[in-house]
Amino acid sequence: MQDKVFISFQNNDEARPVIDAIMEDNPTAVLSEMPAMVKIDAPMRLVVRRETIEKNLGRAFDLQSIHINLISLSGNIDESEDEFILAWGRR
Amino acid sequence: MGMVTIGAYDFPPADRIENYGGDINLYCCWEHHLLVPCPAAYRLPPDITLRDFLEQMFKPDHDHHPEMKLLDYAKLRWTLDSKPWQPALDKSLRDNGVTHMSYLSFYQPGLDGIAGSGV
Amino acid sequence: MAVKKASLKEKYRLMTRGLDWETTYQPMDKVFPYDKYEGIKIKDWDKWEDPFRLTMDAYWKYQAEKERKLYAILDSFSQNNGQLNLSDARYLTAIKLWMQGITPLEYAAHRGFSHVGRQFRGAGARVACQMQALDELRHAQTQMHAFSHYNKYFSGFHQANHMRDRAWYLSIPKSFFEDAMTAGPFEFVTSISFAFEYVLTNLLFMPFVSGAAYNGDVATTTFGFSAQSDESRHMTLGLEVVKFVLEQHEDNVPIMQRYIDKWFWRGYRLLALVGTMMDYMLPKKVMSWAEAWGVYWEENGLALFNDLSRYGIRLPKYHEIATKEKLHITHQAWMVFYTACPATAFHAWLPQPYEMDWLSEKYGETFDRFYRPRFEKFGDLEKAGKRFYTNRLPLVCQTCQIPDFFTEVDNPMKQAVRHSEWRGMKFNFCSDGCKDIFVNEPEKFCQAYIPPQQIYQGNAGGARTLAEYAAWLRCGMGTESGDYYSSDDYANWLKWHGERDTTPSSSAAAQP
Repeated sequence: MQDKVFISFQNNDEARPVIDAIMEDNPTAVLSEMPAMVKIDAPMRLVVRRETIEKNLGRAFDLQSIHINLISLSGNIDESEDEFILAWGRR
Repeated sequence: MGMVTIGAYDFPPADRIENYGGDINLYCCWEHHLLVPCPAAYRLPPDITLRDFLEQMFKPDHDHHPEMKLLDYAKLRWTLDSKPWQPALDKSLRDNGVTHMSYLSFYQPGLDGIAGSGV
Repeated sequence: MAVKKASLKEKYRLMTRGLDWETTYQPMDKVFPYDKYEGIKIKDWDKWEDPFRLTMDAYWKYQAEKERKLYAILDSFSQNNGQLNLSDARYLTAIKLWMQGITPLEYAAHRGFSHVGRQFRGAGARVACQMQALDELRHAQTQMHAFSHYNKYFSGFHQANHMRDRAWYLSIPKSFFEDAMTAGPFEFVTSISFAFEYVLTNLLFMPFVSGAAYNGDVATTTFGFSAQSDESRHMTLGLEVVKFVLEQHEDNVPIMQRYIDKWFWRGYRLLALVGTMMDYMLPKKVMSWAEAWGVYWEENGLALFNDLSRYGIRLPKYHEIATKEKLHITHQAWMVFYTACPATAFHAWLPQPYEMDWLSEKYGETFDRFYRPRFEKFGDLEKAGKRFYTNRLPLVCQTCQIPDFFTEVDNPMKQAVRHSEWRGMKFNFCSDGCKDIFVNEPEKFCQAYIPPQQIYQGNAGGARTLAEYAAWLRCGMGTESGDYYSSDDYANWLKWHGERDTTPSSSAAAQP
């Protein structure tokens, strides 16, 4: 079994375009829904892409604003204005 | 290995025997009887006999347990601080070698709690 | 000339680096006196990497937005009498425990991070700790604010400070944080940010807060998730500290391993106690403690430690014991709450039949063989009008301060206890993990302020029995304390619902 990274968001309208973008950009990711939240697990690496969120949203999006509805995460982080990456392995 | 500190660090234990006015702190557990979910703590004079302790303090705490009436002192297997131990019931705690913060437990073979569940 | 906009990485570097200086008229070691004595060797503080590149302006912007959302929801919850929409008033025992036990930890964390936010000589680490100190103060305030609404209608919310310094069950979280705060700055950050926040808090904050939503507590859901989003920054600070320290010098590895071993065990012991919140206090169930342990430790925690293995870090000592105990500890802890609730500012109760079935389903033979018989016996005593309350003080572990309800991992019928002698005095523990921690630092843990011992020494207003002690806590049977089904909270709840008992009656009603 490959080690998983995860990210979790509040399940609300603001977070939905982000959740959808993550599922679109990470074909191996698995989404679990619990009351009021979602948890997304992916083997070894998961990327959140600004471009995909903007396409879903139809407007500009500051990637750092994911903080507002972020609940938790696990994995080493690499953050730029275009991508937010969670990964295990050497940095 | 000693503690790593920024300076001299030496304080007396909070529960030293001097704080107990001549008494000691004692713990006692009836093995396989967890309806009272933790071993109990007692503050006692060290010259009380083990029998008096059991009759006056320990047994009343467990009188709701159906197996209490089956308890037979002659059949108990004792430990002191988790090591096998053979106390004399009519001797004092002190003469039995029980000291401050000692942990006593006993088990009577065959008494394993309600429905044999350790309770 | 067109000005090229700086990238996030460049902007972050420009705004956060080069702000510090080497002192000239005082030696650096005198300005930062506490960041070397632990033996941690730092060669180059500039190698510090902030995982989130959140500058102060962005931090204020997003925190303000979170606050606006939170207070809008708290207002609407109170204006709409949201307390009446809870699944059942039993749920509030969890919230009382949160108010009394967890909120003061947020404040303690604020104090701890304010302290270490001064002590590291690397500016990056100092700034991260200062931001966290602000977050923790926010958490304490928003939680008290949210709970103040419940204080108008339910008991147990009104004297947190009085309780914190006196209640036996609150000495557990209190001593946990005081141990961390009196350690060196590297141990503090490893204990709180890494072992507690990264490795363990997801276990509580994710499934429990989700459960709060499921039980109709919108207020707690909102502050809980709002706080947890700050936690995700704190967790990454914890991981960064660990990686940074390990990369700096190989001599740091055994020191960090000892901190991780100690604080994994301490954090696990503390959290296991609140695992009862998920298994016993949520009337509508979301996830069992054992399931949460499987997801957040056995999957996510092990993945983290696999990643750390390249630095020479192994899994925390006794992690396999914690995994074996997952089938037992919440039941054992609830037994203590059930029998000792005359001296708590929250209520306890026997699980309802639908809950017993749910516990059987989640815990299988473990529950049916070892714990169901206890609850059935207690049920018989209740029916006979002899509701069982303990009247004796318990043995409390010298390290974690939890009443020793633990059993041997391979024999759940056998009481677990460990012993050690130091300077001619005996000390007792719940486990090998807690004994090891004592043996490493007996000078510290011999000073532990253990509630039963303090009571017997006359330091609880002279109380000798549990009833006298409860009076000193200002806990009254039926008001703050005792069984839920004989409490004012229950009587009021029935009155507000036209005498209709909202206790779910079947496990189907309790499934999401």
